[in-house]
Amino acid sequence: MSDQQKTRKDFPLLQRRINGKPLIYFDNAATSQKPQKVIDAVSGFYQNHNANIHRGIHTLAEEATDIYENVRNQVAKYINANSPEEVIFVRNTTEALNLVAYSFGRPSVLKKDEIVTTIMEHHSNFLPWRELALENGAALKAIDIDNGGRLMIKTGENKNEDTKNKKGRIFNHGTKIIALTQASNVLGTVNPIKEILSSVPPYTLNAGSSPRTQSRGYPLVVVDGAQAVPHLRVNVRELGCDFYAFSGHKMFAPMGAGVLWGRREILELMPPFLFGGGMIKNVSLAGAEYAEVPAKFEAGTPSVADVAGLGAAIEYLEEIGYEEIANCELSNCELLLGELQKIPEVTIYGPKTTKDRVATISFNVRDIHPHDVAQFLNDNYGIAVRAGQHCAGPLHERLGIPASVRASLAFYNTEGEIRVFLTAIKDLIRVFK
Amino acid sequence: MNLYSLTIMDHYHHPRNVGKLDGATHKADEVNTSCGDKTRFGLRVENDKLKEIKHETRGCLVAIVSASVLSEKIIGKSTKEIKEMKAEDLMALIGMELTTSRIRCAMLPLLAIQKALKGGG
Ligand SMILES: Cc1ncc(COP(=O)(O)O)c(C=O)c1O
Repeated sequence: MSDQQKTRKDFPLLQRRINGKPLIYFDNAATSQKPQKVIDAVSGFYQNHNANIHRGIHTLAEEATDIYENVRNQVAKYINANSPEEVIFVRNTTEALNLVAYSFGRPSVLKKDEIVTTIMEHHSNFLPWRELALENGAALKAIDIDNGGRLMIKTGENKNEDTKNKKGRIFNHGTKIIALTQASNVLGTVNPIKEILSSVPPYTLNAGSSPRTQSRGYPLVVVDGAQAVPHLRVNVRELGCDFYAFSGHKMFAPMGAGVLWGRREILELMPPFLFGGGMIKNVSLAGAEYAEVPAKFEAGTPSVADVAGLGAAIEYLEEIGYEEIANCELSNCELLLGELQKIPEVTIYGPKTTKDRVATISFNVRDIHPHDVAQFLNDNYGIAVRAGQHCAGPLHERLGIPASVRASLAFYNTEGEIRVFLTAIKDLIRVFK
Repeated sequence: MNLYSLTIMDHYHHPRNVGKLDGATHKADEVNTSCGDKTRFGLRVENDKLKEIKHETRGCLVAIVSASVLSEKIIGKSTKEIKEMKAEDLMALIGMELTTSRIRCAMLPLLAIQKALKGGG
């Protein structure tokens, strides 16, 4: 048995059949499947340790708290944070990005300031900034892409005057926030975050002040890591950003646990986002004093079982190793890109080679509606792909298409599955002729 | 009926009653916000019965086939009958077996027709 066949056995759901055919799961960018180890961690928590955390001295409460805090340590090491206090547990990427937009953005972005984002953002790294800009009277600018699906960031290359200034930098004097994704959930492009950010000096703080008084300085950088973490080793300190957000459920962990990493100095000066239990030092009628980070940002009972599952998923990923993951995914990606390009009816959006890419491929087949493509693949071949705009309206508008079909691979997808997929596309073209 | 049967593919490639209806007594547009599919219907009603129908539909196979089949099968029905049609009636009429999200695609033309009848000219 090959290594890959062995890893496939770790995922109970991959054994399912759909319409009598073995499931071919190519919708990993939406959410990944879960290995038994993760499922066991979740059910194990409920079977053996279930208690609320940080609020009891009985054995179970201590165990639950330890499980939760150990995963925080694990995540901190995994992404190379300075300390576990920089890791805030949230539900998902969306919540993490909203937290930054509300807590940092609301008080610090002023009238006539600007927020720079990109045309390839997922709505969850676009709408919070759009709303913030509207509310505070700031401008929202989007870095464009070239025809190959890559951000236009080099001096002179960016024709969009909006997002470059005379020095060819992507930010201006009044830029308060730069929010961009590390990997596109539609194009598969991996953005050169380090290179982009090398022109952005570190965000500087006026010690002891609040975001409101952090007026003119260099912009704060927020990176959406939702589509990067499942495929690449991420080192937040090396990237040069101030915040990094990701969802557990796209990296083999349960739905319900996500992470916001932030530089501690910045987190400390931000006000809480949600108020309630678990985030206070003391409260009386006269006033309240809030807890330190990370508790300050974790109001209410968290999803402890899902966090336990996240810990198991990280362990699982470390066992497999990112090198092995990239090998599997990129060789299949290369095959898929190459073969799809041989079919004249297929248009691929995004990079045509595997350089700086994850194995997420969006395409259209002639003028066949993406819903019809997805339905046909499902009904006749048991293939799960996504059809629509994939929460990237501005990007689809930029590409000039109403929607697309997306096949997104994980390391457990096989070459055999790619071959079936290619046969299915050719069959689709025949039937819809 | 199989989604890709000859009859269905025939409606998909050659949808019936396509175009603008001159002298329509009722008109309406409808959009499926989840995928952007669009349809526009023009109807001519006489003595409370549907006499003529034309549509322009831009969408997926299910929406196009539903519009085409509906445009053939509801001619001669009373406006009351058409206004009372439900998803189940439509499914029986077009003979497709659909899952929840695709039922919405099939409903688009019916919603447009009902909107036209309710809204008047
Ligand atoms: C790039 C990107 N950002 C953000 C999200 C939002 O993730 P979630 O729905 O887990 O909050 C997604 C996933 O859909 C994504 O692909």
